[in-house]
Parts: sequence; C-alpha cells; structure tokens
Amino acid sequence: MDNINILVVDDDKEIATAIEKLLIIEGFNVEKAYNGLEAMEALVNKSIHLIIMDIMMPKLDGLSATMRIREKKNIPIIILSAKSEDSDKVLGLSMGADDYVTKPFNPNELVARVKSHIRRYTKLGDMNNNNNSTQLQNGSLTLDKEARSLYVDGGLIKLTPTEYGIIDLLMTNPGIVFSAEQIYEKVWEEPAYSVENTVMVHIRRIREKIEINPKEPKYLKVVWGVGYKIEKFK
Amino acid sequence: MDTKLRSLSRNSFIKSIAFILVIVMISSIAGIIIYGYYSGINPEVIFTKNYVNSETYTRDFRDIVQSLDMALSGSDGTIPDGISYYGTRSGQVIASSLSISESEIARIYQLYYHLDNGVLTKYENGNQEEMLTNFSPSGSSIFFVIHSSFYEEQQYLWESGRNQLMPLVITSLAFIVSSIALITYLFMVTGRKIGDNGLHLGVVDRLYTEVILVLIAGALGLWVAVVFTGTGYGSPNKWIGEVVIHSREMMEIYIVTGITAFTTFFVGLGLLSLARRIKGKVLLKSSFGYKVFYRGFVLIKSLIIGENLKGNPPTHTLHKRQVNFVLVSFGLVFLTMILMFTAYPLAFIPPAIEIFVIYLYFKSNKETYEEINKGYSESLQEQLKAERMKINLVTNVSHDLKTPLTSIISYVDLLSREEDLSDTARDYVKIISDKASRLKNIVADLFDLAKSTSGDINLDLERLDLKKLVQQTIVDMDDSIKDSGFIVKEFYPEESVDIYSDGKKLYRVIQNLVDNALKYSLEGSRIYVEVNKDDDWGMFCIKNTANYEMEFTKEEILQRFFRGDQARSSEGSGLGLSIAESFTEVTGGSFDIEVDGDQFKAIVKFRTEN
Repeated sequence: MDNINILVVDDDKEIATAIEKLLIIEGFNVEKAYNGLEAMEALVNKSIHLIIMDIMMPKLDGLSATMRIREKKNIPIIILSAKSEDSDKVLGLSMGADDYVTKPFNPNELVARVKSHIRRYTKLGDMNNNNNSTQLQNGSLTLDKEARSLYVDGGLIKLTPTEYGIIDLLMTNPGIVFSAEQIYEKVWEEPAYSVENTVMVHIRRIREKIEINPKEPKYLKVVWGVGYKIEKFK
Repeated sequence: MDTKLRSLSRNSFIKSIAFILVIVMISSIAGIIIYGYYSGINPEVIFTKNYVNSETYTRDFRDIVQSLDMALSGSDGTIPDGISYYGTRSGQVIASSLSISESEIARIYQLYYHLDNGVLTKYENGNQEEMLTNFSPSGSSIFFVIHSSFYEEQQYLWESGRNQLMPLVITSLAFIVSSIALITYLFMVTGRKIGDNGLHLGVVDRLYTEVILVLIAGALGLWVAVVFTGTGYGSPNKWIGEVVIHSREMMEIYIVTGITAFTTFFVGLGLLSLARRIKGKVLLKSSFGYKVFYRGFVLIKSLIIGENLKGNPPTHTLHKRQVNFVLVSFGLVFLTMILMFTAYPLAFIPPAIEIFVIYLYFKSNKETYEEINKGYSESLQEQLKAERMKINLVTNVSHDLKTPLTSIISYVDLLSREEDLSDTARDYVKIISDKASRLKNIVADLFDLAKSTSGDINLDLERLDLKKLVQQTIVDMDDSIKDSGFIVKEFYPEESVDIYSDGKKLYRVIQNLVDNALKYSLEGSRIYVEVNKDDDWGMFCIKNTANYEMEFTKEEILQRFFRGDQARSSEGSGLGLSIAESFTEVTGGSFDIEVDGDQFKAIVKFRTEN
C-alpha cells in the first residue's frame, strides 16, 4: 500500500487525526483537510487516491465538495457522516460518493472499505474499459459468467453452486427484487414450497462472503417482506 | 313518624293508587249523572222532602189549571187522575166530573178552587184567597177539587225518587270531596321521591310544554265530542217509582264513564306534568316556543353582536362593519322610499350616499383582509419555524452526541492497537470499547425514536408479506438465537399476509421484539412466534416466559428507558419496546402488550391489503 495518498476531510481535528493514525498503521499516506475548501486545495497540490469526507463542515460542506470534485476527478470518495438517515445516504451517493459510512464508525470496517475502494481504483480501474460480454460489473463485484466465478475487488470468492446461482440471477438483474419462491424456482429448478428459510440462509452466507459488514450490506439486500435484490451501482 | 308519613306519601305505588282512584271516582260521577238523568227522577227531590212544598208542585198545579182550562175550552188537554171539576160558560154547564150542582161544591169540599175568567181563587174552610191571576180569560168558570189520592200518589213517587237519588248524590258528593283531596295530594307530591328533597322530572316532562297542553286540550275536546255525539239518543223515562233504563241508555252511561276515565287519565297526566314543571321552574324553558325564541335570540345575538368573534379583533371589526353597513343601507333604502312619496326630487340623495357608503365599506374591508392575511401568514411562518427548530434540535443533538463518541471509539481503537500496553490496561481498554459501542447503540436508538415520534421520518411504504418478513427476520437473527440457546417456535398461516407498511421499519420492530424475548426469557423456556390473519387484520404475536417477576404495567414498560429487570445490567438501550411501538404506529399498525403472570406477549397488527 505504499504511495497511496488518502485525504481525510473533517472539521473535527481529533477525528481527522484518529483516522490519520489508523490509516498510517495500515500503511497509507494521509493528508488532512478541515473543510471543503481546504480539501479542494489539497487535491490541486497533491496526488490523492481516495478521499474520506465529512458532510457537516464550515465554509464548504462535504456534499458540495464531493459534487465539485466529481466534475474533475474519478477517485473514490467515502462519505463519513453523523447523518444516518437512509435519505442522507441516498443523497450522498447520488452526489457522486462511492460509499457512505456513518459515525460513530467501526475502525476496522472503515479500513476494509478504504482498502476495497483502493483495490478497485488501482487494479480494476482499467477493467471497466475493456469489459467483455461474459463479465458483469456492479460496484466492486465482478461476475464472470463463463468461469462461473465472482470477484470482489478483484479477489476471487469461493461460492457453492447454489450460491453462485443466486448471485448470477441477482447480478444479471441488478436492482430488481426477487421473491424467495422465484429464486428457488430459478436456481433449484424445482417447485417452491415453504422456501423462505432455505433461500434466506443462502443469502446470509453469500452476504458473509461478499460484504464488508454483513449486518449492513452494501450489495446483497433483503427487501423486508418482499424478497431480495442486488443494489445497482455504477 | 313525620318522615315515615312523608316517605309513604312519596311512595310511587301510593301515588299510582291515588291517581287511579281519582280516575275511577270522576268517571263514576259522570256515569251517575247520566244514570240520574235517564232515570227520570225529578232532581228537586233532593232538596225538598214533601211534594206539596216543592217548586214542582207549584208548576204541576199551574199545569193542572191550564190543562183544565184548555180541556174545557175545547182544545186538547188531559186532566190528571184524582181531580174533579165542574165547568160552566155563560151559566151553562159544559163539562163536569162531579155529580153535584155548583152550589153544593162549597158545602161538600172544605178545599176547592175556582177559575173564573182567568182569575183563580182558593176556597178553604169558607175563606177565599186569590192565588194566580195570569191566566188568559177564556170566558168560562171552572170549579175543581184536587183529591187527596192525587197528593198521595205524587208524594209516593216523590219519596221513592228521593230514596233512589239520595244515595247516589251522597256518593257523588263524597267522590267529589275525595277527588279534590287526592288531586291536591297528587299535585303536592308529584316529582318528589323518597329520600331526597330534589325534584324529579319524568319521561313525560321531557316533552315540550305545548305538547302537554295540546294533549290536555285534545283529551278534553275528545270528551266533548264523544259526549255530544254519543249521548242524548234516549230520553228521560217517566218516573214510575222504580228505575227503568233501556239498553241504549245504558250504553250511553258506559260510553260517558269510559270517555271520562280516558280523558281524566290524560288530562291528569298532563296537569301533573305541568305541576312538576312549575315546581321545577322549567315550565317555560321546556316549551318549544321558548326554545325557538331562545335559539333565535342567541342566533340573532351572535349574528349582530358577533359574540364568538370577540377573541379575534380583525374578524370582529369586519363583522361590526358588516352589521353597520347593512343597517345603514337599510335605513337609506327606507329613506329613499319615504322621499319618493313626500319630496320626490330629494329621493336621489340617499342612493348617492349609499354609493359613498359602499365605497367606504369595500375600502376598509380590503385593509382588514390584508391585516388578516398578514397575521395568517405570520402564524404559518412561526409554525413552520417551530417545526423546523424541533427537527433541527433532534438532528443537532444527535450530531453533537455522535461526534465526541466517534473520537472516543476511534482513539480507543488506536489505543488497543498499541503494542506496549500492560494486560490490565488492555482490559480497561476493552471495557471502554464495549461501553462506547453500547453508548453508540443507545444514541442510535434514541435518534430513531426521536425521529419517529416527532413525525419527521421518511417512510418507504409498500405492499409486503408479513409472514415473509417475519421468516426473513428470524433467519437473519439466526446467530443470536443460536447463541441464546432458546428454542423459537414459529407458526405461520398457509397463505401470505399482505399488508401495507415500511419493510425496514417493521424489520426493526420484529427484531427488537425477538431480541427482547431472547434477553428476558426464562432459561429452558420456549419463545413462540406466530403470524396470523383474519378478514381485516394481519397479526404478528410473540410470547415468552419472563425470567423475572414482571411487576409493571403495560404503560410502564412502553416508557422510554424502562427496564423490566430494574438492575439494568444487561445490554441494550432500554428503548427496544418504545421503538417497536413507535415504528409500528408510524408505519400504520397498532402495537399492544399483554402481561399475564410470567407470560409476556407483544402483538403487532396491521390491516390486511386485498
């Protein structure tokens, strides 16, 4: 992880410092900024590979800064905010952020997410361009239909045939909700009867394999009382 | 003793008996009167003991004289039995029932009468006395004698009539006196009850006073109508010493008695009700007219004075101006009409003034409307501001709590990564870390609860299957269920339970309830999870046996931060049930808790969608 520069933007200096120390332990180089404007300056002066951005800041807030940065740069931006509403998350992601972590955050989870985005940005950045037809890309998930295998941030994930079948179905139709019955009929190829538990157990296992925090899944989501889906990312 | 009598007099049974007695007596009197009428007994028998002293005798005597005169003049006329006569005209005997000559009459009879050309003279023991004079002179002279047989018969009839009638009269008098007494009693005690001094109004008293008056008048009118149309078909029978009543006449007696009883009943009820109203001073108030008048008064008062607008100065001004405008306009129209008939050319002045008044009216109204609009938008602004402030407060407090907590958690984490920590220090760091994450959960829960109770919560409502949701939640919580060692028994209906709600919120509800059951169940007991459905409701229900004595009410446990175990030792924010309740309600369901001994039961209900 040498020579990876991460910009931490937070008006709370102690928090910025804590994140800095955490990332230094993990071997990253860290720059700090205490508001949106400083962040913009830092971007001009230094080569930055990832930004961790607070929302509520003086002078220029995190959302506006994210929007401005997105106009010029394609680097991963992780929003780190005390705003925890779903609507805040949707807003942040639609402004161009790649991820949204709420305060108070779990340091290990933050590090894992940072690593995930760095991997994708540095190693897989090119893959987006020469996409072939058998490969499906969604966020940091890559599904190779020919090899029947799933990659998360380029790393191969071991899946059972059933698990692969489920992922295949959901990845092929991102954002679409499937009921347990539909999944069962398509993957098991048998008539479905009382299959909610069976399907849910598999979903949980897949989540544990592909999600950084399975309790707050980013990709494989349960639509409560309806079914399951894979969230659609760029 | 006094109170005993008092309570007895107020006994409703006694009162009813008295009322019935009055009805019976009054109708009896009516019957008796008709009976007496048809019996043909001369009512005078009551007042005079002897026939000869009676007015009737005087009348009868006169009739006898007249009929004698008429009979002898050649007209029709019957001469009663027991009377002998000797009539002459111009010295010639024209009729005689006496076999003696005129001169012998004075010698044989001590008492005889002589009607001579309209002048009646009584001869008694040689004395003569002029009696009645106003007979028309017929030119004839009649001597006549009334034999004692006539008097004896008349006296017999008189006395037998008297014997018949007297008891009836005495009875009637007694009835009248008793009725008056009972009626007085009834009027005194009506509306009073045993045991208190208050006045009690009955069902009848809820009717309008006018209704009662109409009822009384109607009953009386009916009585008059029935009595006048239903009686008088018979005629008084001639008194022959015993009562002869024909069936037709008997029927009339029954009719009169019946209708009198009927009328007395209704009139009595009505009058007693009126008496109660007077006693209770509600005679006027309970009348329809009063109500109409009063309502009208209130309406006019509120229309003209604008009583209910007083708290609101601009609208009150508007109202006053409106009333003034109408009055002034009315006055001007009136003035115009007068001027038209009196001073025609001047009639154009009031309309001109009216135009000016209308201009003033509209102008000042416009100003008031603007004032009202300004006040309205100001209050709306303030309301919005207050609402925004409340939401901002929740957001800000949440932010202000989360920011230092973020530092604590981050630095504790950094601290735990330090390699040269002593074991004791590492233990301490672990404790701080645990408590910090618990604090994090509490803050998150508190924020959720504040958001949902302040109503500022984003809902993502959709049609979903409650059965599916519960199944998903239970599987999702598989780890914590396994760790807890409890057996969760699940019961689901065959078909789906479609409801309209927010899946994510409802998942939190079910999760909190299952968590709660896992935390507070008796070791070795089972937890029952059930999804049910009927025509209208989809229902989730969770039952568990508590591992402590639940000495709290339903209300208490739903209070924020309430912890059933009091020791507050276990994990959790103490907000679980409050959040479950609040989220259920905010997403359109209803939440209920039942505590029965050691059994704890939570029920979440939603209307089913079809």
